[in-house]
This record gives sequence, C-alpha cells and structure tokens, in this order.
Amino acid sequence: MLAFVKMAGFMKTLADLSLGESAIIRGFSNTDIAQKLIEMQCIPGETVQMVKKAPFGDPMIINVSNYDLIIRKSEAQLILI
Amino acid sequence: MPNSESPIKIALVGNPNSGKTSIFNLLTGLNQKVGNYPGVTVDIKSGFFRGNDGKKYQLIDVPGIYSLNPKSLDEAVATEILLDKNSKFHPDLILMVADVSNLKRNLFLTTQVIDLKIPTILLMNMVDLLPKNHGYDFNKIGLDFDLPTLPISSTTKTGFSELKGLIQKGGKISEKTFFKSTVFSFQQFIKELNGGKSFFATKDDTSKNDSNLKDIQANDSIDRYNFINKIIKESNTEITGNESFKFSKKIDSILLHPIFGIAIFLLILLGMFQSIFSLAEFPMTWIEDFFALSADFLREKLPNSFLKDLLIDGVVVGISSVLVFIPQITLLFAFIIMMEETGYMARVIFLMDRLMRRFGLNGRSIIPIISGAACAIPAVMSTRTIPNWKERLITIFVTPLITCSARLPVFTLLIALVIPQKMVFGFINQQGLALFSLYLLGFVAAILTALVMKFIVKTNERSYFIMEMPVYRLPSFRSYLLNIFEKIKVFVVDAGKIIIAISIVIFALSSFGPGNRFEEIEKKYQSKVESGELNYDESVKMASSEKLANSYAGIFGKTIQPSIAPLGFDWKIGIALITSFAAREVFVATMATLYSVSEDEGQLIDKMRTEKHEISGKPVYTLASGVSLILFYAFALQCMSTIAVVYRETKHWKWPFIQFVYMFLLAYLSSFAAFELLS
Repeated sequence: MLAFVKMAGFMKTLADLSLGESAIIRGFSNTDIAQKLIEMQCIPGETVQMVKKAPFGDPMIINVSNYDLIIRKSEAQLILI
Repeated sequence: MPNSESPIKIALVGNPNSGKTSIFNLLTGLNQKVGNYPGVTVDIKSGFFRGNDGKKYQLIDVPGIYSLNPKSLDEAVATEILLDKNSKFHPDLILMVADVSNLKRNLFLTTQVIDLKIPTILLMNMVDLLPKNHGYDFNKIGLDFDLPTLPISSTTKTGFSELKGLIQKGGKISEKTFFKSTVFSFQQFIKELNGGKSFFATKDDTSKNDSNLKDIQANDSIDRYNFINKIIKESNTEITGNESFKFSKKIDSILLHPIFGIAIFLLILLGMFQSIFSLAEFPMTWIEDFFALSADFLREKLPNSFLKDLLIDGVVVGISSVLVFIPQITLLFAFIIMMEETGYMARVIFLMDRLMRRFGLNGRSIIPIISGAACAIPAVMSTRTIPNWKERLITIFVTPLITCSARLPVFTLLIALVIPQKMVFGFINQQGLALFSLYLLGFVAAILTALVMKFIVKTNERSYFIMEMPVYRLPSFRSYLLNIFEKIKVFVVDAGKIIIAISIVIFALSSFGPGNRFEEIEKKYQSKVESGELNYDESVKMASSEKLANSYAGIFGKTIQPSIAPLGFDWKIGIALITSFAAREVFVATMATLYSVSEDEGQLIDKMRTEKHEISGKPVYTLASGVSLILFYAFALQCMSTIAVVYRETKHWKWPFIQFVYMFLLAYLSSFAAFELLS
C-alpha cells in the first residue's frame, strides 16, 4: 500500500515554487484532492513546473505531463514536493 | 418506418474541451433538444439522426468528465447515466471522444469506460491539430485497447464519412479489464466509494469512508496511467513542440500579462457592450415596429370584441416583449460562446478569479455582471459556465441589481423631471452625473450583496478549482452557430411561456373594472363628443385614462396608496408600479396613458411637473419623491422575464421569490430613506 497522504508542514508544497521552477510530486496532504489530481495526471513521481501566477499570486498555472493546468493556491498547498 | 420505434441510444463521452459538442452538432444538426435531468439542475442535450441503414439513433451529450469519480453535479449526472441501467439516458453504445492533443489524460477516462463493459467506439478527435510527424499509431492504440478506433476532426470533417458506418456495426465490448479486484465489479466499486448511496447525496461524510477503498482507488488510477505510458511511447515531446502550443504561449505572454492582459480584457468588454447597445438597437426597433404594425393591422381588420383586445393588448404585447430581447441575446452569446470555444474564457477566469472570490463570486462571474448592464436575462443564462453552485447562485442573485437597459427610459424621464440641468465644476452636466451615479450604485449594490451572501449561503459542495488551460483554437463555424441558436431557442420557449402568461394577466387587470363603471365612462364621453364639448381623439384619450383609473389595476393602485405614501408616491405611480412588474420600461407608457398624452416625453414631463396632490395640493414630483422613485426603480425586481429566467436557471421558485422580496425591501427602504431625508 502506497502512502500518498503525508503529514503536511514538514515538506515543501507546490505553492512554494517560483516561476519557471520544476519539482517532482511526492504526495498530497488531502485524500479527496489527491484522487482528483491523480486523474488530471498529477501522479507522484511526475515532474511539475510553475508556469505563471495570476496577479497577487493566485490562482496559478502549472505544467504537468506537457499540458497546462490552473489551480488555486489553496490546492497547490496540498501538493507536496 | 413507424415513429414509435425506440431509438438506439448512443452516449458521447469525453473530457471537457475534448470537442464533444462539435461532433454532437455535426451529427444531429438542428434536430436536438435540451432535457432536464430528473431532479437536478443539469441540462442534458440529446439529438436524433438516421443511420445509413435507416435506423433511428439518439445521441446523448454526456457532461464532460475526467473520470468516473463524481465530485460535481455534472460529473454525478455523467456517472449515473453510464452506471445506472435504469437511467433513461443509459446508452447501448458509447462514443468515447479522446482529444489527441492530450492523449494520455484522455485515454485515462477510456480505460474506465472500457471497464463498464458497454459496446464502445474510440474516436481520436482533433487529429488536424497534430504535427505531421506525430508518431502516434492509432491502429495499434485501437488494438491495445481492443476497440474499433477512428481518427476524426470536426474542423476538417476528417473521418465523418466513416463514422456512421462504424456506428451501424455497433462498437465492441473490449476484452481488456483494467480494474483488478476479486471483490467488486468496477461499477460496484464506484458506488461503494460514494458510500453506496446516490451520487447526488451530499458528500460531507466521504472523509469517513474506508481509507482502504481510497488507497485501492489511487493505486488503480496509477496502474491505468502505467498501462497508458507503456502504450504511448514518448511521442508527447513532439506535441509540446507543435505549432498550436507555441502559438498559444505567444498569445498568452500578452493576454495573461498582469497589466496588458487586464487592459485587453476591458477593451473586449467595452466592444461587447458597445455592440450590444448600438448594433442590437436596429433589429430591436424593427421587431417593435413589426409588432406595432401587426397590432394596428389586427385592430383595423378584426371586429370589435373582447378576444380582439386580448389578442392585441395581451398576446401580441407579450410575444413582442419576448422577441424584442433576441438581438441582445444573440450578440451577447455570440461574444461569450466565441470566448468559450477559442479558450479565451479560461484566461479571463485565471485573471479575475482572485478578485471575484473575495466577494463570494467566481472568476467566471465577471461575464454575467458586465453583461447585466445590457440585460439581466442573457446575463443570468450565462452563469451556467460557473461550475460551483454557491458561486453561481450568488452571481444569479446579484446580477439583476446591475443597471440594465430597460431602466434607462425610466431614469432619463425622472432625471429630466427632478434634477436641474446645471453644471458641476463648470463642465460636468448634473443630469449626466446623476445617471452615471446610478450605474455605479447598481454595481456597488451587487458587489455588497454578494459579499453578504457569501457568509449566508451554506453549501455541501466542496469548492475545487482544478481547470485545464486549453490551447487556443478556432471553433467550427456551423457548430458555433448551432450553439448560439440553441441558447436563443431555450430563452424563447422557456422564458417566453411565462412572460406571455403574465402579460395577459396584466392586460386583464388594466382592462376590466368592477360593475358597469367602464360602460358609464364610455357613455359619459360619448355624450361629450355628441354635445361638441370634446373632439373624438381627445375623448378617446381621456376615456382610456379614466378607465385605467377605474380598472382593477387602478383600484389596486389606490388600495396600495397608503403603503407607498411614505415614499412620496400617489395612486397613479402606484398603478405604474404594478404595470411595471411586467417590465420597467412600461412605466413611461403607463404614465402616458394616465396623463392622456402620447408617449412624447416633453409633453409628459410638462404634465407631470404640474401634477398636484389631490388633497394637499402640493406638487407630486419634487426632488424628494423623484429621487425616491428613481431609487425604487434602481433596486426593485420589476421584470417578469428575469424572474422567469432565474426560475429556469435555479429550477426552483424559492430563489426568484427570495430575490424578489430582497430587492423589494432594498427598494422600499432606500426610497423611504431618500424621501425622508430630502423632503
């Protein structure tokens, strides 16, 4: 059994990435959102890149598996990198 | 062939933005209808077509989904259609639409559809967008999934000639199975994940669900992607290098720019706004003229009778008040659908989401709020693009507060009446300033109301915001026109029925009076004409004004006078308030009838200015009562079309009712306050 849901607070999250920076998804800190993100191809082990942030830094565009996804900051904070 | 033959049901399944709707439009043309999915506020489009073999097929446009893991209302409907054999839309055949410009994610849903064990055809859509050297072998993918596979494109019509033949063969149940469990079938598993209940049940207790099930689900999803990654070797890198992706990035460097991006969006809105005002004006005048001419024609040709009046003043007026909105609705949707289909709307949402969220709204709320300045009806209809129910409801609720074009004739008349034409600071026209303040007032009222509702409305729907940013693409022209046509049809048929019914009620109230009062009025004026005291035209005008005062609407006006007196209104304004319930612009016509003048504004203003209270002898229209009346029209929901359309969009009378009461109270209290302060 894979443990996707890890304790938040000890790890960096996707929201911490600055523009153009890439990282590998390690897991999620919320089960419901985890399944949604996996379905959208944000699979643990995949590389994500921070593409753009809207004015005031929220929402943001990330690139995963060669396509762009808009997520709010509140969701990015649940993706552990 | 008999008509009663039951059609073969085909479900179009695919991701949002996968081009499903274009395929749907190309297959069914005008032969489509929108049905309400039982019990929920989701519309299901279905259409009919004949196969080459003459068989009848029903094509069902299932809401776009990324997986069979329902979180939103749309997804719940899609899942139920595909899982529940008793659903009236449960398909005999699935057309699985996979957008090849994002093949892996689209194939993820395909693996889940395969596990349903329903005959399926896999359509590789948008092949025209692939670069020449894309390196995909669609035949091999078809073999790997064990499904008949066809590359198609609704833009270039690739594959459409073969599609009907393939449908005729009936698809195939794939031998593959992706869901590996000895305990559940895939269907049972999905139901189990939803607590074994209906997919529409509130999702509050999902966290209590067996976390074991969630782990199985996550592992299952990852296994599916592993399978897909094995089949599709790294041809993906070439896709990123493809022209449309690069092109999109180039446009976005301007359109998503924090300053230029917002400036361009405002310019587009200005253009939309301008054309709704200026371009729609001509066809609207033609429609009004056409109905005025038809009414005259009927008046002349038909024998005098009650039915004649009902036909002309009830039915014709009702129909024309529906159809007169068509030019504005058409233009507005032409803009909005173009923004949606090209992918620009996703950019606007990205730019505006943060700001709108502060007020309990959504990035997508910006469109209805702006277009509400033209007309609340198409604006309320355009809220359907907002996925979150709470944010959509708040948007619907506040949109009618925006100053719409129907308030304009009322405002111009009243401003001319009570605001002196002086200059402020030597160059600003005081009357113009008053009008501008009214637009500002509407916007501020809408935003503040949204903020209040944000804290009142409770929702069980968890607010996710994970949205694909599509590449820019040009919609197929035919499909684009069909989408606009469908919006207009829905408005005319659904809102139209209610508008016409209320018009007839108002006609009846203003053309009947108790006892034989009407006959006596007619006799009185007839004798005045005979004695030469009045000429015929004058007598007709004065008689109709006296009849209105004695009609049920007039009696109603006098009855409500005590309750509107604190606002500075007399019984004649009371009648106008009642007739304005149909539509605000009726105010001017009612006033004209009451003061027995034609609708010429100059004459009417003179008459209204000299109007005195029957008892006190003081002028009726002062600054205090004028401002009070303006505020009443600014806030009250006097528009039956809006009420009808809010009912249609929320599928419940509760919301238009609450909205009506809220806006009425807002109108009453602010009018009362203004009248007290100014007099």
